Amino acid sequence: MELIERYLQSVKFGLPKNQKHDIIAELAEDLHSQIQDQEAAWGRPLTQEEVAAILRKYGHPMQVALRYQPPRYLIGPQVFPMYIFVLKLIWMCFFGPWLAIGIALDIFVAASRSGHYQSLTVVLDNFWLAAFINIFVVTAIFAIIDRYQPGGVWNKWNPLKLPKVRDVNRIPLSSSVSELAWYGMISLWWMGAFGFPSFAVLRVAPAPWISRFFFLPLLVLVLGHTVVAGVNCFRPWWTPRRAMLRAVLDALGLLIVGALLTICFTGGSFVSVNSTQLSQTEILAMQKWFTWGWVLMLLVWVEIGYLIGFVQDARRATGRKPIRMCASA
Amino acid sequence: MSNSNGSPDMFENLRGELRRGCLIVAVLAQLRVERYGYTLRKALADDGLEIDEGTLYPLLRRLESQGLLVSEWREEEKRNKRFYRLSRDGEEILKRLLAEWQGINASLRKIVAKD
Repeated sequence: MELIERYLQSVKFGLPKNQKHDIIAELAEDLHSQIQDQEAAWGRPLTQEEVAAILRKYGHPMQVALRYQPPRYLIGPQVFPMYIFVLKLIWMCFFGPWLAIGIALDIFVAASRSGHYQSLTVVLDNFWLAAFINIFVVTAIFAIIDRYQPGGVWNKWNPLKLPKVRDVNRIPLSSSVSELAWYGMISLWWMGAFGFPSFAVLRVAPAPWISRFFFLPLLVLVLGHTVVAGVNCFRPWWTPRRAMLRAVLDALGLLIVGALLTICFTGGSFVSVNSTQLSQTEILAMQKWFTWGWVLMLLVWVEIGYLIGFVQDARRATGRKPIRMCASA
Repeated sequence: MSNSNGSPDMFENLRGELRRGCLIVAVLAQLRVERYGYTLRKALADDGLEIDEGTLYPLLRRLESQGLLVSEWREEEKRNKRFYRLSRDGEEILKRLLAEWQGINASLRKIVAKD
């Protein structure tokens, strides 16, 4: 039965070291018993093809051997959902904005310097490295948790300490106060209560065209937001009327951002820099860098808050529930 | 093969899950009498529970490592064979598993009868 020997030799290759001999002896016995029974039933020895058919039914040698291996995984099913949740969190809060800023840098900054793709390549190089290290560290931590405390992670909890059901129409006081402070400060700055830090050698101010065309719209925008934030502090519930006002302000904000970006793309500068000690080339470069800085800030602002706020406010104003941003009951 | 409702793949997976626990009970119950692998497989098949070698032998090893079975190599009909039988712990566990299975079976009968 050379064929059986060849088969068992292949199975042996993938078996756990300390059980190889034992398992092979048992498999050999089973195969011989099967063949013996078959031969007794048919009254003749089996042909090579008939033995091959029995082996084929037994399964591929590696498949048979793998069944004797202990289950091997880094992170088991108990811990896996939490692992995926943490990876998603890292992606959303860290890598997503990183990638967005990298692309923005490429579009707006690299184009004015050495051309597209060069800065993007640098950003992405660091991105892959950081992503790899992050995923590796998180995976290692969860593998350790899985190995040493699989039950403990889920057993240490108290139902009484679960967070209250979140009402999507309730406005947290913390966000109202921070909005009030932020928009109040911008309103005061825009009305001239205080300006950019100014030095004898360097004066930075908004470009004249911004003051001329955008003074009133921006004033309406920031004052409107200040008033809404102030009311929200004392009446922390979204009403259709207040949501409508916020949606209009959000729409106005998006229009202004769009207009500013359009002007910027056509070569305009947001700030004017005056200095007695800088050359004209240096002044132009500074104006350009200030402008690109503002553009990046606007893009991040639009990405993380403005669009989401607009959609949510529009839903509230039209009587629909805002979209839940995180899972809750 | 897709995994849509009622597909053969899905049925096979569910069938596998359903059989897995039952096979352990069946193997333990059969090994109240000492048997070696091939005769155990035949005994199970004769009672209507087919089990392939690739599933049976690793299962026997696992049950033995858990202390539910004991085994010894012995010569029979001029061939060395590994004989398995239920250990004392195995007998106790089998008793409890059978009680559990009967409870589940009774509940299922009631639930299914409602339809």
